[in-house]
Amino acid sequence: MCYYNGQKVSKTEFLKLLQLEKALKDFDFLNKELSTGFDYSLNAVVRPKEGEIDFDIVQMEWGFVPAYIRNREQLGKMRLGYKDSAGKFHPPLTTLNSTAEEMLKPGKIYREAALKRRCLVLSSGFFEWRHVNPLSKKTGLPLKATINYPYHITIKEHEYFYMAGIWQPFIDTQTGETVDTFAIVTTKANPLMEQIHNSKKRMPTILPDELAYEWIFGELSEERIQQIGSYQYDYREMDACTISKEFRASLDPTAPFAYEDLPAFELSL
Amino acid sequence: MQKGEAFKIEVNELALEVTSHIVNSSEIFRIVFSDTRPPLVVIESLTNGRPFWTSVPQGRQKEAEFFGKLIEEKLKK
Repeated sequence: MCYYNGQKVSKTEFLKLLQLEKALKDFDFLNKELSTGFDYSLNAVVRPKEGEIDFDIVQMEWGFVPAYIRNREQLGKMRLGYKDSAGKFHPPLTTLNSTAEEMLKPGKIYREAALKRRCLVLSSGFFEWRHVNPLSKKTGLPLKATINYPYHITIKEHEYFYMAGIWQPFIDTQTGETVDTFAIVTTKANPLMEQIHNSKKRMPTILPDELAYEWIFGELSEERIQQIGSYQYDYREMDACTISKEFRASLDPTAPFAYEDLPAFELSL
Repeated sequence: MQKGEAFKIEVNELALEVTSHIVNSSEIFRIVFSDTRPPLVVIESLTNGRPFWTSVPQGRQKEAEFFGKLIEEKLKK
């Protein structure tokens, strides 16, 4: 239980009221449909105020910047990959997501943030690709060529929901630019997401209100951080809908789109 | 998103213009007063499973309870 305006309310109600407060202030900023990650754009993130049971909804850059990165030039090399003076290619390092099972291990770039800087990423839905190998009409066996189908995944009866996140401030030592950056925590895919994100079988850690509250306000042990970070949202509370393959360029990227050749899920959901 | 038409409530010498909006799936009411006080946003929330009116943001609880009740009565009519 918490207090809002002196009235005793549940944690769920408290989060709802505080979020409403911020939304009324910055509603346009929350009203954004599509974030693709690879454009490293700004997203709405719930960040707790230090020492208070309150939070701010702020904008952060999606793409966690490790502490050893000193400027945008180094960051660009990290994100895109680069050849060093000896001609050796260093592949890109993608830091959009941090694996819950790995992030606390000693030496991991996410460890400090997972311990001290946890946040919630506000989402109205997310996008994932399903990879399907069609069956040969001659042999009935799967063909080598893969067809990719995009899905928009939402939470039933939730306009917005929370994904577990961790954040890290970045200061460009050349220009003085400061920006907060974040990664979305991921967990093992549930039975629905296993069928959609069937290459990696991962999904974002979506948190119900009670766990979202604990994630940002709780003083958590490493074990509890890992437990919450690995939480697997109930697939029966999720909806998934195919969308156009050109959704990134669409004015309405979440508009349903049916594919006649798409096999049904192999599920007993 | 505004929901429906604005409506008016009069109490004593005070006139209230009320609009209803859906924000984050919740219905809120914005009240503009005929006197000099700033507009007030109220919402019906729950305490121990029982509804009560509160202001958003926090800080105007007494007004929220008073004007929230008036809105509730008006909507029942």
